[in-house]
Amino acid sequence: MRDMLLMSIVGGGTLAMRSVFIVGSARLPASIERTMRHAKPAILAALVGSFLAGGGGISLEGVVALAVAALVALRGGGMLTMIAAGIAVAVALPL
Amino acid sequence: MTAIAARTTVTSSPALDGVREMAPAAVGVLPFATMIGVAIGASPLSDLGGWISGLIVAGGSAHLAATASITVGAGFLATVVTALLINSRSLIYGALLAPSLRTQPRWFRWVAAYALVDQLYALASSVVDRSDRYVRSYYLSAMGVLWSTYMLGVGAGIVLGPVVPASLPLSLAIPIMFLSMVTPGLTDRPARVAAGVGLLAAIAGAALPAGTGMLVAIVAGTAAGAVAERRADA
Repeated sequence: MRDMLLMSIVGGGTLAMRSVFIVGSARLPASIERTMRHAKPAILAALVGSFLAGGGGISLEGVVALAVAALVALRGGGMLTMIAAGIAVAVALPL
Repeated sequence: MTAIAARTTVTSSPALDGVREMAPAAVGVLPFATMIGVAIGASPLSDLGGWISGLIVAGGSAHLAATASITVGAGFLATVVTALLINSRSLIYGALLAPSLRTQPRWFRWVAAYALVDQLYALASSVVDRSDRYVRSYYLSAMGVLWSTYMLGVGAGIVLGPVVPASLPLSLAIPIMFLSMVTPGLTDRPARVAAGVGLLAAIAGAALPAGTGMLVAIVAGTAAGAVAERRADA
């Protein structure tokens, strides 16, 4: 119940953000719009970090899997290839 | 986008145009949606609740982030703010599309706002100079294709998740997915600074209570990116 309430708040907040300009007549201040461009990389990287350190210490298995996935990305691999390579290495290595 | 505009000029049915243009993007969403379904299956969320929350949250990245935050036990406020921050880029999409949608009926503007994710913004912005009726049909059909594919993918992931052997560290797929989403955007120094500071701050702040380390990391990363951009401009 608590989790569905959480999802509903996220959904309501998202709809409010999207409708404020499309349904309403508000305009975003340029300075905020400029700063918000940097939120996406910060958020996604923070999510990666929180998973790496989620168990109280840094997961070696996670670091190795992410390093391999990053290498795959550098070589032009897509998301599924990155996931497959990262998980395969994590399974193969006795970490 | 030029190719899209050219194709939409040739055909006469806006609904078919919307389906045709969205289909490749919808196929691209399928593996992502499936992995979100797997993440839901491994989370404390009920299968039905997790699946329906895809329609409630209305944004794949935020849906995954909220599910992941619940799984790692992040605090209520931290999870809400994290998911809303992820969806906050749609504020910009809304601001950019709004002038073209002012003459549309109010019901459509609500629907358009509800469904406004990256792929829909990209397609809708290529047809906003067409008639209101054309834009409406195009948007609704593209939205139908994208969202039905997304929900099918999430459902498939929930169903298929338990079939996968427990020895496979599938939870690693989640940070790798985030990694795959962040790397294409690291094309300039401010973005790299924002991501680097966000990553390190999240690791450093992992021990902070109620998931507040994540919030600190997001604020620090965003601020660092803005400072880096200001320095680059100076």
